[in-house]
Amino acid sequence: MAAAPASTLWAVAWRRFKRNKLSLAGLAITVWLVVTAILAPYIAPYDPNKMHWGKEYMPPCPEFPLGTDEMGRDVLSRVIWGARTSLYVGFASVLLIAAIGVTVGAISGYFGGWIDEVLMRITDIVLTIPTIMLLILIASIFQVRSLNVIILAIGAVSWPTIARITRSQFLLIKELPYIDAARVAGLSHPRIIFRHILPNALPPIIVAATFDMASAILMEASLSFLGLGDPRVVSWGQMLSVGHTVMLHAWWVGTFPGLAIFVTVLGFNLLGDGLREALDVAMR
Amino acid sequence: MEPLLQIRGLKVYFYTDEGVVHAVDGVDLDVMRGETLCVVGESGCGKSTLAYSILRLVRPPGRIVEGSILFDGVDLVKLSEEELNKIRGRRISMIFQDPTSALNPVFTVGYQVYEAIELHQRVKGDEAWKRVMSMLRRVGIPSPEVRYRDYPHQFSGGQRQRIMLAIALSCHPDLLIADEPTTNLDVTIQAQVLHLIKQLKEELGMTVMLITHDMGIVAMMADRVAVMYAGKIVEVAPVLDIYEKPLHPYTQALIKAIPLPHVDVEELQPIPGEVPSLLEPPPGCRFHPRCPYAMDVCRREEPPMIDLGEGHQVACWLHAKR
Repeated sequence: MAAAPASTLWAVAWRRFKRNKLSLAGLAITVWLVVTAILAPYIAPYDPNKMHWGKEYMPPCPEFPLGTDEMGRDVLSRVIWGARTSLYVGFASVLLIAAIGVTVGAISGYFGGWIDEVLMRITDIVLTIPTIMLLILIASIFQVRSLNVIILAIGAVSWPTIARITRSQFLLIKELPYIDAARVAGLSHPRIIFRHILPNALPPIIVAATFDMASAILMEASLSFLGLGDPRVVSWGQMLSVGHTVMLHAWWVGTFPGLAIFVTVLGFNLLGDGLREALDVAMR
Repeated sequence: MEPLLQIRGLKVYFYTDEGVVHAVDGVDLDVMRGETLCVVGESGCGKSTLAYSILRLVRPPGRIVEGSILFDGVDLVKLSEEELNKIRGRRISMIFQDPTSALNPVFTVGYQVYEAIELHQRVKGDEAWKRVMSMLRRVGIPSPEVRYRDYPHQFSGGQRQRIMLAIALSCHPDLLIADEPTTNLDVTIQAQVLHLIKQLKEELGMTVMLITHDMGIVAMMADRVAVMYAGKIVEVAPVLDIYEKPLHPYTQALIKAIPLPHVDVEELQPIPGEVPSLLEPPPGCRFHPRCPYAMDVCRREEPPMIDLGEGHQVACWLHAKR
């Protein structure tokens, strides 16, 4: 039941992870996306916003491998730059979600009593809010359409899962003798929470964060699709939103950003599944 | 001898769904400076709860309901958490029954000793690491300068308990509370660890409160013995008196139940009856349902602690002056 020692935990997990082809595929997709996003300016054939006059709705051809959109912009370049937006939203949202979720869960689980009651009821309330409705509401209230507002909105509604997982981990770990030993040594509460319990609680939190990454990316795409995204950045959701209206005569405009969203979300989900399985076994 | 720790009227109850468990139910106990006091009793008699409540480690639904724990004149029950943290680890330390789970699996053992030294001795870096090495060597970890980088699972049970001792003793506490420190160890390792505790106690001039159910360990370690039964102390005496002239029928029964090499197993006398439920302890003397000498008064009234002189106290109506 107790977490296995760190050195072996990650080693055992990696051995287990390697054996599953789907997990490796998830990892490969993720790494590929991150590399693409970082190198976007160097690998995109054109400026993603450059309009090639007279070359609107070009089907895939040697000059434009994935065709051009309604303003003559290169779809391939836009898909590549879109990876940046999606991953930025994903990572930033997950950082925010983890910061709120872990803090709430840790305090709740460690101290218990009325603090736990209050924090968990707030968590329940946030869980009952239909995510997409709230996102639309927040996005509409803020007149400024910016990625950071979207990230804040995603963070504000998505932290309860990690809060609950963190809490349950803390409930389990705080009863273990090594935490008694830490208390006997006279360590302060913050030090016990962050130095002694949190590292032991991390594995399931990391798994949940991976899934949250996929859903944050999907949420940003949905908002952009609805026209509530940040108009200043290249976003797969926005491309899809234009693309679906011209699907019948210019299928490439919507299909490729759609595929990009699909592959990205699939990649993170496969990675999350793989991590869950690997860490589950390693922790036993 | 003056007392270092004075427990008075201590009650620790657990408020469970099934009712209130009277784990420690009115305990008075002194631990003298420089002695080794063994608290002995059957599983579930409340001896571990007593040990845990001294450093206020009892968790909800458990709670210290009443009483005081005077340590060097300061009531630990009344201290704030911050004030208590200055005593924890620095003046009173504790080691636990299960050394496997008492070390944090994600840190190297060196770091765990380092953390204690850094916190309480206010030294950092090389100087602190030097002390880590000397502490590990002192508790008998071979080649500490190599092994400090290892994780707890890379050590044997006996070595882990030695490391726990290194952490617990890194700040030269006045009092060491040891809660069944060798119960999960092999017999030979048990003797080694107990020997180490004894030796370190002499070297550091500590006071030791040792919780155990093993009368053999009591004989080896104790200066004085407190016998606990169903949440109460029933007899306190110097160690020789406990073996040679036990006065409480429960203590007498405990002594008769010790397996000895020259005594046939068949001749061992188990104590009849069962350990009473701490949910509803029997009225009067808690031992009366199992006691061969039970009288009327035993069923009605709780016996007072009777002082017979020479440090021998017993809570039994048989020894009350009438």
